[in-house]
Amino acid sequence: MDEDNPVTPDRDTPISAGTSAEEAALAAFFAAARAEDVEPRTALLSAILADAAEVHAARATAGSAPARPATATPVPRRRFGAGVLSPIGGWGGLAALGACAALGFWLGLAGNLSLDGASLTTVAASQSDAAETGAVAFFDYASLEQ
Amino acid sequence: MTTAARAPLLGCAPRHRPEHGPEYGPEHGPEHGPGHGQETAARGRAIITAMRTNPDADADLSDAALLVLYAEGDQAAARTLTARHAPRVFALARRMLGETAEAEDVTQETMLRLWKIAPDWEADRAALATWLYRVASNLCIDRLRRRRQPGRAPGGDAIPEVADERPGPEHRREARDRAAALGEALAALPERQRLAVVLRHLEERSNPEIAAILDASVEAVESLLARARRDLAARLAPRRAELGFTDG
Repeated sequence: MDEDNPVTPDRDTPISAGTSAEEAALAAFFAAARAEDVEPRTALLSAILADAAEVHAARATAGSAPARPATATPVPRRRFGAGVLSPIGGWGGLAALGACAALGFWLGLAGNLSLDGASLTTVAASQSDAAETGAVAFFDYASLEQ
Repeated sequence: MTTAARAPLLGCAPRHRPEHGPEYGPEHGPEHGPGHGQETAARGRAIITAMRTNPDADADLSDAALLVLYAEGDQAAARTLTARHAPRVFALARRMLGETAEAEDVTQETMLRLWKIAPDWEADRAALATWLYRVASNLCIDRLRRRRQPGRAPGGDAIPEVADERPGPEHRREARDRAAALGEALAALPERQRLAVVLRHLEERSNPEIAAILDASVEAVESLLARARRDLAARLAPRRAELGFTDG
């Protein structure tokens, strides 16, 4: 049983019984104890104030943390395929290359070009150039068709 | 952060203690001479007095207002709160634990908890002094209970033997011996009885306030006090003659 449990007062002895006599007997002891110097050291007060500054600084830092992502420059994320496509000019280059290949394929299948002499001369000149420039010839055909 | 950096509460030096030595007061042991102890204690008192009377300090503000100011970053408010409450908390801890280093740990920890809850303090809450006493009381009781574990030596500062040549040294020695005898008798009481006596008779708090600190009814506090006084009187009765009482 917990001797000092406040909810179980000593039922054998009334609370007030003898209290005044005991208080009188103890008064000089209490007075002597109260007169003792129990002031805290300066170092303790300094440590307490340092804690106060530290807690406030930590709170200020934590309070500003959520705003930081919004104000900071977002880190650019590297897009998928960017490394593979960079040699041909990225997605734009790939689209142009695909369009040219599709046009050449279609022209080859159709085989019904009906061009006048001047145009054929130009085509012949372009074809001779194409022998040197390769894929550039697709672009020349494309411009003629349009 | 601060809590992580702090030393464990029992058996280890607190963060501020490495700076100790010249600033320890006379209750810290015989290794410090009486003149030195009186000088440093006087210096501590002067600082506290200056903090209390600083016209720039927020001496007239309520505790709740000071906590709001502190939460907004006003370190002067922290100084005023420290000057107002830390000495009381330290005195309670010192009288409960009977040892200065541990009392300093408890005081620092109590005030640290205050700084942490400052932004959430509600003005209509219990009085700040009561809250601080409650926190400090719980910390003290925890330490006292740990002391009772097997293998732990009881704490307590040595009573310095001060060779005081000023008029009335006999009277002062007698008062010191009586205080020491009371301290020994208090140490034998259960924690809550000891706490009730310290708060009522040494810190001079009212019974309703003690009830709030102990989270008990006023009647329960009166019961604690009655039993504690009876026990103290019985323990001190055989020593009355040696302590200068003519009725012993």
